[in-house]
Amino acid sequence: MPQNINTSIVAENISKSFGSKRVLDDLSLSLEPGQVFGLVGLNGAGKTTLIRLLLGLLNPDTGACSVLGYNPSSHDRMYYRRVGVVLEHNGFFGNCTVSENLSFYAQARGVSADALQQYFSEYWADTAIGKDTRKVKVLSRGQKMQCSLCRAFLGWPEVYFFDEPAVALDLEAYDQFCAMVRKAQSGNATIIISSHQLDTIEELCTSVGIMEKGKISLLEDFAGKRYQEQWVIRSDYDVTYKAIIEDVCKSEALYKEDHWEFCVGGDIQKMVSVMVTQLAASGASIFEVTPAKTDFRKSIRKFYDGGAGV
Amino acid sequence: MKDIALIIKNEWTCFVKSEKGIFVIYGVLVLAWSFLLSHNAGAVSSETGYLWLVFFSVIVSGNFANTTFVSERMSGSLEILLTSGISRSAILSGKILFVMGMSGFMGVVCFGTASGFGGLQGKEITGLAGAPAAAKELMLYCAACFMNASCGAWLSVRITNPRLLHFINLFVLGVIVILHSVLSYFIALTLWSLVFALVVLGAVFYFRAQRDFRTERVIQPVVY
Repeated sequence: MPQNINTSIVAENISKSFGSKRVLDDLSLSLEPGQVFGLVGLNGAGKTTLIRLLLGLLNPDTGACSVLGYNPSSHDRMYYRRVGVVLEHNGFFGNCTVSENLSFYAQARGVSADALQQYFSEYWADTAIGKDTRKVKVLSRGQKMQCSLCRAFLGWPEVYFFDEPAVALDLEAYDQFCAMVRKAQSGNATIIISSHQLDTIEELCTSVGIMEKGKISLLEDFAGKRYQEQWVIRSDYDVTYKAIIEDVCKSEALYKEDHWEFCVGGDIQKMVSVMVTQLAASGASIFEVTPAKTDFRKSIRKFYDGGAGV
Repeated sequence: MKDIALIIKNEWTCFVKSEKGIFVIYGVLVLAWSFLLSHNAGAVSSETGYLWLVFFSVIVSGNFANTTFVSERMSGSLEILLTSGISRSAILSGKILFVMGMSGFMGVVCFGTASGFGGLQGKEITGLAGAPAAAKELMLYCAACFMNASCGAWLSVRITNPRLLHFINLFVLGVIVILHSVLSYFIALTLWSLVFALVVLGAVFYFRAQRDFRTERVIQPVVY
């Protein structure tokens, strides 16, 4: 039976080996409702193993995990009705259509036919799978992934496990996925996204963990970087310009060669506009105003290289 | 029960939407086997004629077990099914019942066709007089189907190479039939004792499959 808890997902000192290979080594993790957690790591780092453990498909050798207060290893059917899943294989019955497959999984989850109909027409009717009446086995890889996502969000569960969810999605389908994740997050759902696509992680996640050698390291200040964009203004130098920029963005501004670098949060467009207006009014020659390129990929690379950045 | 019904319904939907060639193959198989049951089995020996029935069950239920259990593991869809909100016990029971139901249906069709060809193992089975004999044969067939379905379910979890499933299924059934034949040589055993043995062994395999379905072995990778 689930306990009354404030954390959605808890893993305490879990270890898992396959033969002589130790895939997870004394790993601990705690995620709260509303958290979108990005899981990155090299191939074979143990991302999928962790997700399978949290789903009860595998059992830990040592340690314990709990999701929504359930012990996943107990395989409680009520637990599975409260989680949405996208795994490596789509799990659809190839000889059946999209609607037949969704109908089956809706019944399995206890979602009524009316609720399924309403959900599908509201979110998926205008997508590539919306009006497709072909058997699933003839759909493209991207369409199958859309079907998987559609099934995962069915009934708006409280916890989601996504293993490479954005693979093969076209631009529209990707935007749809991002919108669905944000909606689930606004409903206080906890979401784990395991992916090699760092753009997806950066765009959606509020925190990031890097898996290596069976352990998980949290990427510090990811949330800060996520919500505070770094901007660049190319202009001449004057000490008053520095004061103007720092006054508006409430953080330190650095002048490097020919440009100012600073971080800005909140209503970014408005703040940058105010800043540029004030700089121009004080006589600055402004050549370029642009958001700086993300350093997320660099941070991950530094971690693998054993350097700073995490 | 609702979940078991859902699994059976889903298996049925997947089956009826299979390639049409499958139905042709099953049709030819039923026709050929019913002719064997009707004539050749009786012509060889009425004492060993039941073997045709028992081994027909391997072909039919072994094949269905292969499709419903092993193919799910091969395609990876079992992982999703296990996390779908249906209990593992219901998934297993539903699939075994589907295999038994389909095998039973094909057995009845085979019996009916054999009857149309002139009787079962050379004996008329039409009318009330032939009913007990036909019922006994049908019971034997159903017991063999149950054993095959349960054994197939258990093997689908235990073996890593699905190509061996049919062979091991046939081997297990063969061992039971041979043991029954050998023992019949020393003590008076009826066909009912074989039915009983198949049901008991089927139950053993069923409970072992139930136990293994709760382990992580159920999602182990398939190896060729």
